[in-house]
Amino acid sequence: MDALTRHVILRREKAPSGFLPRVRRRLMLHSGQVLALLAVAYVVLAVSNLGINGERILRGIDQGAKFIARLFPPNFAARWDDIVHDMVESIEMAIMASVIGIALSLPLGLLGARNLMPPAITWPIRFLISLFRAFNPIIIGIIFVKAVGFGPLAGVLTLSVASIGFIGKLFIEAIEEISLKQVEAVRASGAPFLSLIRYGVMPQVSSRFVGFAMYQFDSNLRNSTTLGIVGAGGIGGTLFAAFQRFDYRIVSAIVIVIIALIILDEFVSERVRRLFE
Amino acid sequence: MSETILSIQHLSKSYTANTQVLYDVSLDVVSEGILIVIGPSGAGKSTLMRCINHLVTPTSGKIIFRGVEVSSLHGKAMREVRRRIGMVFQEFNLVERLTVLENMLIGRLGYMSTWDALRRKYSDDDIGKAEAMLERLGLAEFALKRADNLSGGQRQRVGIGRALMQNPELLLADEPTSSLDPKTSVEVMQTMAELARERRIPVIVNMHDVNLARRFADRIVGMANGRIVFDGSTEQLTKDTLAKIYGGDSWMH
Repeated sequence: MDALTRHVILRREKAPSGFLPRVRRRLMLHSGQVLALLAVAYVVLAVSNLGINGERILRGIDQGAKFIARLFPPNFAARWDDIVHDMVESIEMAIMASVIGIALSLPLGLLGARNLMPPAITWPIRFLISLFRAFNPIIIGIIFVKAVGFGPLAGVLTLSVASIGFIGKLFIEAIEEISLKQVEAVRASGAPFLSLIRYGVMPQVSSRFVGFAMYQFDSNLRNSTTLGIVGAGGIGGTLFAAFQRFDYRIVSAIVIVIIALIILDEFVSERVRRLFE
Repeated sequence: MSETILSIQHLSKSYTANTQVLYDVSLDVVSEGILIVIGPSGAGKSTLMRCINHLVTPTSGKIIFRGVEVSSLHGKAMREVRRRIGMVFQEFNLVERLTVLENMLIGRLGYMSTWDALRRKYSDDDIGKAEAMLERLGLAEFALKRADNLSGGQRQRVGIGRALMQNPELLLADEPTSSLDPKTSVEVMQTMAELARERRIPVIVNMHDVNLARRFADRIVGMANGRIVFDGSTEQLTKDTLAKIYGGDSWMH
């Protein structure tokens, strides 16, 4: 409870008589502090329960230093062709999944918005989108690898599902916040349903849609570099293989290429975003 | 000669079981002139107006527009009636992120195919009419500005223009001046009255400003608590009737 509310309650209401009612009132008035105290106590207990102590942390730092030493110098040459091929595959997966995900999220977002559609339609759509968002892409990746086999097809499907789960939800929220006055005016002109969506709804949300879509592409690009770990295509497979062979100099080469890609993507998406503002 | 173009018969509307907003309202509207509906907030003026172009479905009663019973229509037939009735809104309800010109062209959506609308492809004829209308409203220089850059009075002019782009046979205006200052209110009402007279179409205006209503109305209808309690000329609108419409008379002094 905030200080102002507490102040007003203390002034207006008399303290109850009896020990237990007084304690209850105290706890209620200071509920925020009580919760914070409980949270701190829990973290302290959990840390000791997991065996994380000073000795363990020092041991970890020691091993970390040895590991970092083995990463250098990065070895780009040994697997250069594989790295290039897999990076291109990762980027292609991200682009395809973004296009598919965004294209499907648009109609799903419109169908899931409670201010445009009846509950009989919004409920199943919203359930589907929540389901798509419920699992980490790695888990979805494992399922698709089992379903359609190893390779980038599984990766594209995984990232498409993840994209729908995420931007589908954001699309719905954006549509539910629009001004219905503008929609009413377009409806009053006698516009057919799709024209109504095009003029009453889309102009109000289109710039936010572009922002979400760009954000999702960033996210897909990052995820496409890890999906290879479960065999769903992209650079992650080569990275994971290098780890397993203890080829740490190849690992660092791949990590540096991934970092370069992400920086390039930040730069490009910033430009695109500015273009649409 | 003025014939009846709109006949509202025994109209009732309740949004939920306990909130009835219209009780057995009947009203005939002739083909010319300005009918102003006055009454306090919550009297049912807006609901009555939205029943006419079927933005709201009445609970019972009939609305006959040019011989067609409107409230039983669905789909395409309903949209065809809607496009013949222009509507102007209290808060203008322009699509703010589109240009002024494109807002005018929204008045043509009822006549355009969905395919053309999705591609935003307007006929040359429509674009010409929209530009002429902007010229007429004194807004030609704003054609390619975004609608949210305009002042209130300018926006409402765009709202009027958009409604007239439908080539309507009836114009509805729901509190068109309530968001405007007194001077702009008069100017906007003048514009609307003038354009409606030129096109020989009747206008129904909801309003709570009694003085503005007296100035522009050919006929005044007073509503209170979902019922019509007065229907007559501006001269017939006495202090007693006003007290009946708004309740009490202390606000008049």
